[in-house]
Amino acid sequence: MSYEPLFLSFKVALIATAISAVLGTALAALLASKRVPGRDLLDVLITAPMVLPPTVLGYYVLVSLGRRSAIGGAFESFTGSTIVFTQTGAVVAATIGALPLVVKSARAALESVDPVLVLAARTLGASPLRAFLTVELPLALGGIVAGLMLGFARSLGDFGVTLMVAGDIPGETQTASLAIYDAIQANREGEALGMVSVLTGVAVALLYGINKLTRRGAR
Amino acid sequence: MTTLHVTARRRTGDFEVDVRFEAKPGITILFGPSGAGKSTTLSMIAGLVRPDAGDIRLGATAWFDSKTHLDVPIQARKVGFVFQSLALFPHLTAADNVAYGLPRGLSRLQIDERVTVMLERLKVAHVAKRKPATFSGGEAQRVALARAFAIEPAILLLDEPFSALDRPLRRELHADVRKMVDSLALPTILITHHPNEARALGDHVVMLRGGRVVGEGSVSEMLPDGPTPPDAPPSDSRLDFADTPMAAPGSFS
Repeated sequence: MSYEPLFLSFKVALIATAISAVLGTALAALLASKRVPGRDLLDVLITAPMVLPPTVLGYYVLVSLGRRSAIGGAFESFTGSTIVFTQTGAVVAATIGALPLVVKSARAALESVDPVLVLAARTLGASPLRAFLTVELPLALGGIVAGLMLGFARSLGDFGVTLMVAGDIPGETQTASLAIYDAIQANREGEALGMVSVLTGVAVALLYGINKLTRRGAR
Repeated sequence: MTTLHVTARRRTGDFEVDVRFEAKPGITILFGPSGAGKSTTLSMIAGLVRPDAGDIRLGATAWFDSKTHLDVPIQARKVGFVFQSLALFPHLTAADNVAYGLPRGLSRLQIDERVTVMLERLKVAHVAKRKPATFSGGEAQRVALARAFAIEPAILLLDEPFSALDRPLRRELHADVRKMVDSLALPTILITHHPNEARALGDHVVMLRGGRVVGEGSVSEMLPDGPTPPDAPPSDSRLDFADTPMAAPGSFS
């Protein structure tokens, strides 16, 4: 069995989770704030990837980040490589899967923090940002980490969007879930089973960890 | 002498708070049934909610003025606020709760020293390294007060922080708060609906009812000893009602 697809999956999922951590927590804070106009629309936009077919999402990514798009063109002239059909594309695909999960849990965790604690921090001289970083964020951390673990598990297994946006290039964009598909097609069942076992083990361990984490947070 | 001047109006739904009063150094009691607008008034002073109109000044320093669109942010007002729920940070120890509001730029040693002094003055130095979940009711109240006093506030706002304590503990805490407020000549506003607490702590009483100031004066004028203060709802019994909150009249509940 080749370890390369597994290694690539973990690498892509880790980067996607790191991006989701920053972007997702910031978006969750926006959505949790009552003063942000149009937050219902933003919520729908962020959640949509959970219910749209991967091909539809892939289509949007290709149109908006492809070589002929403004963003894709700018990225290419800046870095010399394209977003689509590279590892960057695989990271984008994985992030689209992880982000809604991270935002949902982080928002719920932030909204469960007693708003009076934030007001107390403000009367003690804290700016809104400091109150967020020192009171809201640490108190919501359990829920945010649970969301990140869920997002990591989700991005580890992305198939459809990755295939459309990053292709299935061995050694470059062929992640484990794509390699499993190829292995089955080519009757290399032993190879598929190895990767299936690793992905299953990781998913079970993550879900077990999330359960422990959220149960401790509820107490 | 720094006096707090409050003129503020705020409408929430069909309830309007429209108050005008002053708080000199010493303890001013905001007295009235629940739903009288006491908490809203404190929140407007601290900047937690914005008045629709009015002006709020501490001595010569303006905090809010609807005419000039001045609205000094909460963190710049230096208000020592003790919330009814105390609002201690559950993830921080007592010492870190008290240190939270200290000015940036102090050394670790200076912070430790200030925190220790405040905790000792409020007689809770023994809980310094513990988190709020392990405090008794009295300890929690004292840590919340230490945290409010630690920022060297310009005024002190107390939103019924003593209501959960039993009577001997409350008396002891009253004496300690009295001592600190007097030594700092700190304008202090205390919300309560216990007449006996108002008598024990207050210098001046502002009566609120239905969002308006309905009376103002010294404690002995406004809340003379006896079973029923003139402006309180009639009480059926002549029992000591120190621990019985005043019933809210139904008209604006």
